[in-house]
Amino acid sequence: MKKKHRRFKERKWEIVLMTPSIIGVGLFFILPFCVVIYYSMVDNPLNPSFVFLDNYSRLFQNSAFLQAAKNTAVFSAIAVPLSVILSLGMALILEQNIPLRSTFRTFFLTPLMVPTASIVLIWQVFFHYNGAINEFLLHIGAGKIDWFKSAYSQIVILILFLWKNLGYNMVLFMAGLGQIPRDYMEVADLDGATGWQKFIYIKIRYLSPTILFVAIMSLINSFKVFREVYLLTGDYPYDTLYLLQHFMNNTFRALDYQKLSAAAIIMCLVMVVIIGILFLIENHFGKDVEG
Amino acid sequence: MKNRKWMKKATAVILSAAMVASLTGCGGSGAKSDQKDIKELVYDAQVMPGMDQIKGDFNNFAVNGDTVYLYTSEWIEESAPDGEANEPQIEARTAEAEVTAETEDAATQEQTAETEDATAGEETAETEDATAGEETAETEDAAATEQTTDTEEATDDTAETTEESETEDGTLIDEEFGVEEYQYTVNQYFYSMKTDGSDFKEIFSRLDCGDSNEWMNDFRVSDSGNIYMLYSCYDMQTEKNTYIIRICDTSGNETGEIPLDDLLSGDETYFQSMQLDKDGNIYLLGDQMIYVLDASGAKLFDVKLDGWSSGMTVTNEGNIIVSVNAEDGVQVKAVDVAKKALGEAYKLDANLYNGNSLIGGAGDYTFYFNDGSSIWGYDAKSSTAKELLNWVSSNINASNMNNVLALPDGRFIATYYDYSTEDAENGIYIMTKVDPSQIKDKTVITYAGTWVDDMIKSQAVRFNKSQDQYQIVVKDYSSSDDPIKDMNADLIAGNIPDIIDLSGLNTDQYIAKGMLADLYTFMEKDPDINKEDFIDNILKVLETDGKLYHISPSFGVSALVCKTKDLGGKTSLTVKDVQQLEEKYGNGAKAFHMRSNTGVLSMFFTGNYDTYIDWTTGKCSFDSQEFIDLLEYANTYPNDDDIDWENGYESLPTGIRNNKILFADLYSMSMEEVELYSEMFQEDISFIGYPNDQGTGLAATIGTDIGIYAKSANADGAWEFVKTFLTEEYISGGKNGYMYYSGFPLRKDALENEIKKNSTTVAYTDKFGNEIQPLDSSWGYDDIEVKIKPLTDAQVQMLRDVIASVDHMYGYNDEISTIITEESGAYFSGQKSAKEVADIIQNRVSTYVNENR
Repeated sequence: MKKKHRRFKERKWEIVLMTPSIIGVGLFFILPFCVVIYYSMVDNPLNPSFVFLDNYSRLFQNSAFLQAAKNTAVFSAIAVPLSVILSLGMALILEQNIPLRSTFRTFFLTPLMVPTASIVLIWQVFFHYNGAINEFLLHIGAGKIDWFKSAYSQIVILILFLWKNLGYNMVLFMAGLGQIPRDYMEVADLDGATGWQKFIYIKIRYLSPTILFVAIMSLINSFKVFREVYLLTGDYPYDTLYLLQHFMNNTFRALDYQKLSAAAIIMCLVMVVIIGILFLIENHFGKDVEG
Repeated sequence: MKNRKWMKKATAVILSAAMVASLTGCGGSGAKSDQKDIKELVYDAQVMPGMDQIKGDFNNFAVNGDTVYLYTSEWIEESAPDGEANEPQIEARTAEAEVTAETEDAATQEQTAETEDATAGEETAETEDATAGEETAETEDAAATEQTTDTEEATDDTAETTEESETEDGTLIDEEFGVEEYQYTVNQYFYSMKTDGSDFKEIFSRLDCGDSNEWMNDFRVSDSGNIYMLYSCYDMQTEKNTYIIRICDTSGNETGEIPLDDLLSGDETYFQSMQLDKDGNIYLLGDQMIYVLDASGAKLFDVKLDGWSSGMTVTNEGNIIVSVNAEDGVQVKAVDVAKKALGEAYKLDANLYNGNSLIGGAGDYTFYFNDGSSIWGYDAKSSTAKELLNWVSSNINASNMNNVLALPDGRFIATYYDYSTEDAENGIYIMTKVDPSQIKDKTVITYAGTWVDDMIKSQAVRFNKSQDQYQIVVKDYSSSDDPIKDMNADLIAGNIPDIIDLSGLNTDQYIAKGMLADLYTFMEKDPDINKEDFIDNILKVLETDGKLYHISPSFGVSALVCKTKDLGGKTSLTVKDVQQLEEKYGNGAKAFHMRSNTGVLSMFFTGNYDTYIDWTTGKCSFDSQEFIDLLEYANTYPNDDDIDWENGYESLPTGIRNNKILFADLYSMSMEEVELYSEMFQEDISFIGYPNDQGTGLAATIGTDIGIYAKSANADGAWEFVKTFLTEEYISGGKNGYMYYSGFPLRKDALENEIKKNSTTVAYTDKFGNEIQPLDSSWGYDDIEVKIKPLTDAQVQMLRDVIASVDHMYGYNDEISTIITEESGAYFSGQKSAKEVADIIQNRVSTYVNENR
């Protein structure tokens, strides 16, 4: 009894001091989340009547939503692994003592600092139907390609995404690489391990938390690419560029909150599953090296 | 150690308290008008005492302290002259302050308002005795005085020489139009009085000034008591204005003048207005320049504005501010005399849409502005604006209020002119704040829209005055940057108005969300308004699934006009028919006049939504051959940029009569158009809908579009207001004799009234007491002049047939039209083929349709 009372006395202060944060998180995260769940279960925001899971089933029959979900999933499935692998490769290269190392580092980081509007402008100059790249193609005798209004559009956006995000991921990996204890590498050298073996058995193991982190960041950034797509192509782009965020943006403007909320909840559930899987993988690979 | 522990805890507590306290700042500042707030914004408008002593109509007035200075003018229409030109005559007369005179007139020809020395030989001065019993006058030495008095003119003897030609008997004929010109003379008067009507003075008058082409544009009164008057003089030969400022004291004695000949140059050709600052400097507003002179007229500097301006006024501290229409909206800036430039823009959230919006400061506020719904006071020190007077809540019809000025004691003064009714009391009104506790409680009914027409506001004022139970409060979102977004945000937040103005909104969207009430349920309970009162087929067009969710007092009809023989017995034409007609006439004949490729595409598409979009399945068919043919046909018309409206304009009547142009198109037709186009085509004409493949008829358009919120707590009160728009008297225009709205009335009886008005061959008095004369006017269209006479029976029947053929609403979808216009541009400029463009349109519009299905 005395022990419980003393523990409560200690806990009392903790609870009091945590209250503002709890209120903040409740007000700005949990409450809106509940509101979204509410909207996803009514038929419309202005004259609501409860329809339970009707919106979800209708959503799965909506070809625009399915197209958007497919595009988003495909883009993330390609962009995230590419982003992780390429940035890891770049980090490994720049870890070596090559000339102009720090210049290259700065060079790869600069795309992050360029404002989105400027990026969009440059990309339009290059990839517009009458832009620089098509002029070059005409010059060499090939035909014009409608970059933004054909199947090539996803390639353009992928290049944009990688160009913007590789630098940041690369820096994260370089920090991770820097934390690998030198002793293990030296011991591996002494034991005659090849570069590839060192990479797989030591570096990847130590980098696994970083890889998880970079993967999650890239996943989030792959959704943010909507910003550039929206500025390049507007509310209703060619169908290969029509992302989930387009669907949500447009339904918001049309006051179709029920579609928007249902789509958001589905996306949230999918994200939880994906990140859960990533955590499990990381746990398996990284358990040896974590304390 | 223990101390440190306690210090840490104390620091943590203080930080947490600060964080919690900051949460309280998260309260919304959005003003939700409730009953209490509205009562704070009520002012009472009363006519200023002393108005009955004023002659003429108001041109301008100024306020200095508690004295109001008025400038009025009187246009007297005279009968045909005897052909004699006026001799210059100036009458010098003196009078005391409280004089009212009724004498015979003296005509003046010179431009000066004051008398000059008679011995100079340029003018003759005459004094005339006051007629007994009508005037009291105090004479002073005629040669010394520079004061003139007002007189009331005789009407028959004097005549004005005008610039038009004179026939032998002296009747003046307008050279251009060959019709007899009216003869008129103008008298100008200048008064001062206190705001309570006391101390009334007539400062001077200028009689019979029509000849002189001189006009007082503006005037101000300085703190030292001098009146500065800006006169413009129009020279017919050089076609230029010259300006001069005349200064006189409050007794009317001229004390100086400042010619302004050298000031204007380049693109600046006129002065809009004039102001005086606290130091007596004179500010003149041109088109995009402000010229600053000192009190004696010496030029100090000028300031170029980065946009045009129509509002220049003075703050409560005597500094000059100006509202400039720059690229990113209207900005209000002060003129900094020391820096000889404009200062920083004041931080304002509202939209000032015109020059009348900016009101000079007085009392507590730096300046005021009118956003169409309310007058706000702006305090420059705190950069905040406070809503002070709400027009509708004060039962004031704001569209009739002009030249609002603020008085130092918090009252406002303005001129009020209501031309629409005869029993309006026009004049200068003073608006005084009403004690909120004195205001009776009424049930508030909100009327909201993204842009609320002045007609609605006037009707709200009328409704509020006519009964004690309901108070209509108008919420007009037009003063915000994104009206639709702000209105939707309020709707989602639960601030749903009782009555929604759906003009410019996507009505189907709100109907689909069950937001609007079925108006038939109100009509069934209402003894005055019935479904049968309205034109059946138009009402059907407004319905959705048999229910009426929105209504309008009037509607327009979109039509194409063509020769009846070109229809070949059909009631509608397809796109192919139109093309075949063009080929049949040959010789470069085109269906439409001065239309571009995007315009034609848009017109065809608007009539053909259902051909290409199936909303139930979500299937689109823009990649079909029909659409490609449509694109190719539209491509036979020029690009927007290639149409030269100035030099390349061809007369429509000539084109039609030569079979170069086959159709005329009307967005919203009126009754007189039957006569105009019959004359234009010179043969039997028919009105049909836009070309389409389903055989649909004409489309209805509506302007005002009103709906009632389905869950309104005051639905009955809302209906009481809405139904005032649906009465025969309102739609027919009541005592005005003319409809407020364009197009046709929705009510059957109002339509019959309109038809009778337009077809009667004898004068009559209508049921509202208006004298109706048979139609006798003319309509000039390009190079033809059509006499508009009463409609014949056949023409009336044609009109009835047109209205009966309306079978759908004019459909316009912003998103789809944007996509089509964007993509078709590549085809029209020759960069992509029609097939490629059609495929892209198919792709993008399908996404839109499926998303919204």
